[in-house]
Amino acid sequence: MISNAHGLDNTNSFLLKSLGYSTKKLIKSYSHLNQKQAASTILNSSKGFQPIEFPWLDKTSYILTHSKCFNRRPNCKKQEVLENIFKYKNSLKKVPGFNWKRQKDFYNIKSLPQLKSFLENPTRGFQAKFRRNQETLFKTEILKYFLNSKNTFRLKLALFFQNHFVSTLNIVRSPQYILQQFNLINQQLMGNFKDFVSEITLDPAMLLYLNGNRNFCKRDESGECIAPNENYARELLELFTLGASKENGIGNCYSEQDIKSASLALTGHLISPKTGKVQYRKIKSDFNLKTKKFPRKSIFQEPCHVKGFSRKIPFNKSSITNTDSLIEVLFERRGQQIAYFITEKMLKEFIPSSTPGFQQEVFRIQRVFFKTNFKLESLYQGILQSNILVDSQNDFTITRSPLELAMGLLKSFHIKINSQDRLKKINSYLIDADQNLFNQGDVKGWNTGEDWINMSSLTYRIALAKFIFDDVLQNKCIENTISFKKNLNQYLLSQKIHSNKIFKSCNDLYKVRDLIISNNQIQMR
Amino acid sequence: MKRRDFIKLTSSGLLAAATPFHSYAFDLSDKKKYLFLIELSGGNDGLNTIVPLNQYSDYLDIRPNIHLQSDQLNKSFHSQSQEFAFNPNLSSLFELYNQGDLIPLLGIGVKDSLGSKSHFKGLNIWNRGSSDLKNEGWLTQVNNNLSQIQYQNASSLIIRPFRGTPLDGSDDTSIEIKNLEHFKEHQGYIRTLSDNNSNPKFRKTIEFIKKLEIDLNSLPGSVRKINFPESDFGKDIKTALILTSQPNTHIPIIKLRLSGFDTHFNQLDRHKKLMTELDLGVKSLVQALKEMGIYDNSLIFTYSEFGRRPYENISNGTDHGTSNVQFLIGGGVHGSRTFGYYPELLSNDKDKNLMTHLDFRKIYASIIKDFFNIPLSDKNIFNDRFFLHKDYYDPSLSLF
Repeated sequence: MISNAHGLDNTNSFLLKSLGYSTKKLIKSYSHLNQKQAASTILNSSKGFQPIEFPWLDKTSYILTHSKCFNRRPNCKKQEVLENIFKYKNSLKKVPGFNWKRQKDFYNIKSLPQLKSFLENPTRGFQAKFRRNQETLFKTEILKYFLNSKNTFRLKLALFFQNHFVSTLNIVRSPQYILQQFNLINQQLMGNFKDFVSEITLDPAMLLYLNGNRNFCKRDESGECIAPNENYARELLELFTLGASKENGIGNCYSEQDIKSASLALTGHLISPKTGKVQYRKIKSDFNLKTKKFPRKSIFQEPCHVKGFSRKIPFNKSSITNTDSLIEVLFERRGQQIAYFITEKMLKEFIPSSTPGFQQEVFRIQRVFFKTNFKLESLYQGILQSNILVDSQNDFTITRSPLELAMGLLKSFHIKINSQDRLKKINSYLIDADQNLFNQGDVKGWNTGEDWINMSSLTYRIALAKFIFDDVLQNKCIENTISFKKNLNQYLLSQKIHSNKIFKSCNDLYKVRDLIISNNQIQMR
Repeated sequence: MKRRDFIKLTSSGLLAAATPFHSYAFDLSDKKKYLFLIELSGGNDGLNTIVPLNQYSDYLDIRPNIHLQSDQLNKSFHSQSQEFAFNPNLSSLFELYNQGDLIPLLGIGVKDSLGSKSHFKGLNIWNRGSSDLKNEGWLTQVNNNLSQIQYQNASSLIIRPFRGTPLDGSDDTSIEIKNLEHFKEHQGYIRTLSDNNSNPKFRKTIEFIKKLEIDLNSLPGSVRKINFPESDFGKDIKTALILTSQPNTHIPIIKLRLSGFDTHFNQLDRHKKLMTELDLGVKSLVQALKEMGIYDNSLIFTYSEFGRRPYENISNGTDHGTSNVQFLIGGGVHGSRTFGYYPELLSNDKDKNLMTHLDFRKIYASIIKDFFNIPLSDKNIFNDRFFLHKDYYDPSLSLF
């Protein structure tokens, strides 16, 4: 019944407008333009970004993050924190997605001592419930935003960087900071990667996630800084810029000593509990009060020769004082590795690394990326203009992320999901399919491509697809499915699925649903 | 038994590693083995898991804020003429030690330059016994040897799959599962779908999902009565037991994961919670294995991608380190003794990390030979799979 021989391209063409689109098809859809022109058109239309705002998040989220009372261990000793919560008690009550009236104990709090005793012994499950509701609401709102997003190429880039500079709701505990970071990512992704790294280093969500806000100093007798927190420094080098892999002749190009030096340079930042803004406190940094100097820390002293690179590493600077000079020296002395690592990681999102000519493309694109001083647009341009991306010889597919799968189906079949409950349900399927949005399992982020698939996740992915179809079919089978039928018809034609007896009854539609779901092409782009 | 070919060609084209285990005829049918792997994800802090009481004053010096107080350290024991104490929240593990069912592995880690303080590289090394990503997981070959007794083409079970496992590169499909009820529910629908999959990974996985038979009520009543912890870890243990107790089946390798050990800040509180979770989980697991009559054939092995720095950091936490403490637990184990020895807290490597005194691969060799009863190889072994050679086996680390 289903012919797979030519179905591939058509499926992708059908899903062109959704997040789950194929970039190859997107380029080819500009049939009157050559590849270079098409790439420029896509890039130009991806510029400009209106920050996302969820007004209800403002005050409440801030309390969530900074009040120890809302952390796992109730500990409300600080008067100031208590006063803050009391001040915002009324705005807390207005948080949607949570029935505050049910939380009678909280609702009836009239005085500070009452609040204190409530928060020290909160209603059973109160805190957990509060956090869960905030997070779910945040995620359903962001799902709506994704669905309505016109520019899917830009969205794809934003999601790539959110999975690169990972910071999670679980640890940050503030949808507000997570949203702020997502906006930052969107603002930076058309700029320069070096600036991007500088900005993200001092982003509140990132400071919270990798303890940058706890990276202070103990002093030894000479006033020198000892025992900072190395968490951010290590991941900055291993995951965000240089990569740990020694495959392909690219060394990781950093040592344990480099991590120690970097963590010292990063000391002194914290988030003001009053304003939620990042502050720098020299006194908490490694500035030596006795010598009145920042100690100069040597970093990246080892030459790091990389096969295939002809450029010499500049040797004029290898010592750092503070955060700015760290990022400066990192990009100056390890720029080649950074360009290579980021280019390879991003290209894999568009072309499987097993495609013939993949490594040569990485070399070609990273060279331009490096030469333009890490201008991200040149990286995207390199990818969109790649020969192997559009080469008809390369008939590759890439496994969709669960989010791409959901968004692809919803958009392609013009399925409108307005109800909060259904969005919640989709969110919970995404979690089960191993894509807990803004909540990666660890700092490395989701492994993508075929790694999305295991026995457990695939089970949920199929269930997710079924849920999306059934949402249309179950309640409104007869009355409201005319446009849906039209879309199905279009899909079946594109898939060269030949069937005589469909679309007559609801049962027929269920059969069509099963045909689509059982074809693994909806799982791929 | 099923004979498999493991001949692998390296990138240089040379014959690199044939299977170290020949097609050896051994029979496990009357004595089914169960290896429970517990990954303590994030890098457990060994120093606060088993405290070296002989070095208590040094311990206080390097852990001024995040030490365990001496009056809490009453779960103490002597071994190798030294005194140690279990973390106060590890009461069941302490009991198991006293009953002779538990061996603390002291100073265990990755020797030589192989070690990594990266979560991801570190985990790969522990999973493979090697830093070479081309190598299979250390249990993969064991698994292939055990596949004569496989359960519907699977001889391993991975609860809550996440990143790599010691079974990477196996020919067999692992059962990868999170929630049995959900699985059964969705499996029903998946079984009604026709096979249209052109992609091999999808096809293989779907076929496997369709085929798997699971009886949710397989646990004997006495096990169902056990108080499994409410946590994800507790639920995962129960899921694992339901699957291991399926009728006419045997899954010899079961992998569980307890995460949250990356304690860069506020370690005391977080570690306390994790130790309690581990202790209650192991307690319920041991209880269940006893009720199921398979405790004597079971081995529980904990591991982490690395240990933590002995010196605390400014945030009352610890950064990534080297050598660690792990546990081997089982009814058949000759316990109440320790393997390896505790590193000197003040004589560190250049990065101020603890020295390693027990190569983790020695324990792998012991598990393969002693527990699974699979003879180690007497043939030349190439690459860094040397720990599968019989000469690498250390009789003083015999489990029984």
